[in-house]
Amino acid sequence: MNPESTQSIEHYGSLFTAFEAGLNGGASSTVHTVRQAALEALRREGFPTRHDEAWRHTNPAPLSTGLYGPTDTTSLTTSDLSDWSIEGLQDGPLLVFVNGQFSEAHSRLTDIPDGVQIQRLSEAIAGENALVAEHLGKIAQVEDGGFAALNTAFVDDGVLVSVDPSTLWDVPIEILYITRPGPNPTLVTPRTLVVAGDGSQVQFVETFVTIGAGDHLTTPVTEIWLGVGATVEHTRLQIDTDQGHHTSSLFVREGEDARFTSHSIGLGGKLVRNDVTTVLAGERIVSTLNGLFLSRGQEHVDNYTSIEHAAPNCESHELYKSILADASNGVFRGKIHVHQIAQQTDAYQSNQNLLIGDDAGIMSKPQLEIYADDVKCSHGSTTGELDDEAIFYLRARGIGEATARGVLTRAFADELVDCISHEAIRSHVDALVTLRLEQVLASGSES
Amino acid sequence: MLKISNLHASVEGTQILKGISLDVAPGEVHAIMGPNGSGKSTLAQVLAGHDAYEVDDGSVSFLEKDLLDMSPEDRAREGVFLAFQYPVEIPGVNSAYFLRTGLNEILKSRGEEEMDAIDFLQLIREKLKLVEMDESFLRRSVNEGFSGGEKKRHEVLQMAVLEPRLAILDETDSGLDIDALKVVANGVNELRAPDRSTVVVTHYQRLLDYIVPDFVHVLMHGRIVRSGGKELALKLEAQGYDWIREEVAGQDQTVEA
Repeated sequence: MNPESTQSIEHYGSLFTAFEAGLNGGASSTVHTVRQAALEALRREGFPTRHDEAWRHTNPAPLSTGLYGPTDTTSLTTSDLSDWSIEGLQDGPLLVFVNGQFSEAHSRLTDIPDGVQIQRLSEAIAGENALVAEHLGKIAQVEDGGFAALNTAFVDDGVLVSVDPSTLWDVPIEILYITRPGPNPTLVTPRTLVVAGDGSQVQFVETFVTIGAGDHLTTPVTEIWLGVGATVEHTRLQIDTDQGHHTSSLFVREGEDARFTSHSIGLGGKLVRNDVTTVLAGERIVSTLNGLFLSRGQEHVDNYTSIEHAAPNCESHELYKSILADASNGVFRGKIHVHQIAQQTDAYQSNQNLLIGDDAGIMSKPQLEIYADDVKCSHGSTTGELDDEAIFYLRARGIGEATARGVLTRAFADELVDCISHEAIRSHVDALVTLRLEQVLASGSES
Repeated sequence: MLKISNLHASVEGTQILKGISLDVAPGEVHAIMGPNGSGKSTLAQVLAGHDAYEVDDGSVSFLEKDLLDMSPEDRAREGVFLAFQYPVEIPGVNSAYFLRTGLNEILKSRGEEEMDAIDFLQLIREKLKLVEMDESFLRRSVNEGFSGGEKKRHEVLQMAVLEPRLAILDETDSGLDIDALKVVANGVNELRAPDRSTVVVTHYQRLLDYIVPDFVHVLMHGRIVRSGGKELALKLEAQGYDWIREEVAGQDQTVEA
């Protein structure tokens, strides 16, 4: 147990007592045991420290020792909403949460076809939805404590999406989790559970954005379950402030023949840590993890991905890129674990980093653990600056140096933006990346 | 148009160009020949403004302006174009975007109206015919996965779009088969005009059958050691560089003595 966080864990313990008391009988639901177990795991295992292998390059102290708590602030203006909701998805469902509170006025839950259920998690819990009992906290791994356990202890509202077997839906489901820091250090614990039945198809976007100043910890957990032959595309957008602490966990469990694609786009935050854990639990799965991160100032962004090849004949593709300006820091750790049974695995991992600040840095660590003998696994990591010869080539065609740098940096990012299949989501991400790049390049040229 | 006087240049402390002087008048085609390592490509890169090369002495004026004082982009905007010996691959930037951005920056610098996508497409279609390239090239990343011949044609395409006043072709013939060579030469010849000049840097005479020069210069050890008409290129083709080497060695000995 980590003495650094003794005080914060006590603090969360008393928050938990108050939280359960306020649940109005909800404490007796099946979820109660899930919460209780998570809190116990947190008490037992505590928060990670920098002595843990998984946190060696990121000091978790600001996340683990802060005494964060809920806030009553729930205000949201229409302009906030239009800034962050996706133009072009106005006809699809939208669920908006401010500091964990569902905003009915700003949400849209109309025109949902048969075979697709979109429900507030609090309602699903209260209604004893069988999917909650079956999956909530079961795809996530919380027995080791940490931030996923913190989130799970306070599971209340959020989103449950379930798609019946063989139901195909091509309209993306949009979920907007807004953090609006209150006067005291603010804790926000968004939770999403997506259950895609056998042969179903669905895509969804989660946006995690902080509006306004103030110390806060946003610590979301997303669980995705893919049945046999299910197809899920997930886009996560994360935009935080220079006081923003964000630590997310994405847990995926994939069945036979599943197709899963994840796009993780990170556009700022003081201290950001994203964990992705996916288990390829059946044969012939194709799983793709994409990531794009743009950092500046003193920001620190740590991405940890873990791909478990637990069955034969699966493919995984991973491409993570960072653009780091000023004195920002990045960490990439990509674990690929090929179990002994997982013959004919085809796993590819690439981490590419572009440093545009003199004091920017990245720690990139592939971690391949291969216990099967007939597999194809490769990984590559490159870190560098823009190619001088390419800059000269562009300048020799009349393109000014700053524009040339912008064009090349943009091209580096575009490879990942272009991977997003839905046009409206892609252009939304494109616009946000453009804005962010302007800031990043502007600060890069000052240094 | 271009006036090079006593140009000395070095890379990482090694002197490569040791006093080059050359005048190129409007409308003229000059060929610069020489064995490997003679400094031909260095001359081309120095004229385009590559910062790996240090100019130690001498001057270069272009249309009465000090060329060496300009950034690479300003040289391009003034009308200098270098067709690269090794065109650079630029993943993620498609050829159409690259060409239009370059053209518009040049137009903007001259106070002319920039070209929209539709007008540009019309222009580029014409130019593609000139180098016998398919429109699908425009959607591909610049030079990425291009064959050697495609890269060189793509250089000539850029030249045709940007319409420079001075085109410097750096070994544009290397690695080309005879058909590709004819296409490239044809593209260059189409652009010949009384107010445009061309400097062809080449190792072999072959290209000069198709791009007929007014003057031929032989570069050796960083100096122009012979200048003549197109017949000089033919003599080099027939006899190689050894006879010049011997003559130059003789002169050097005379000088040293």
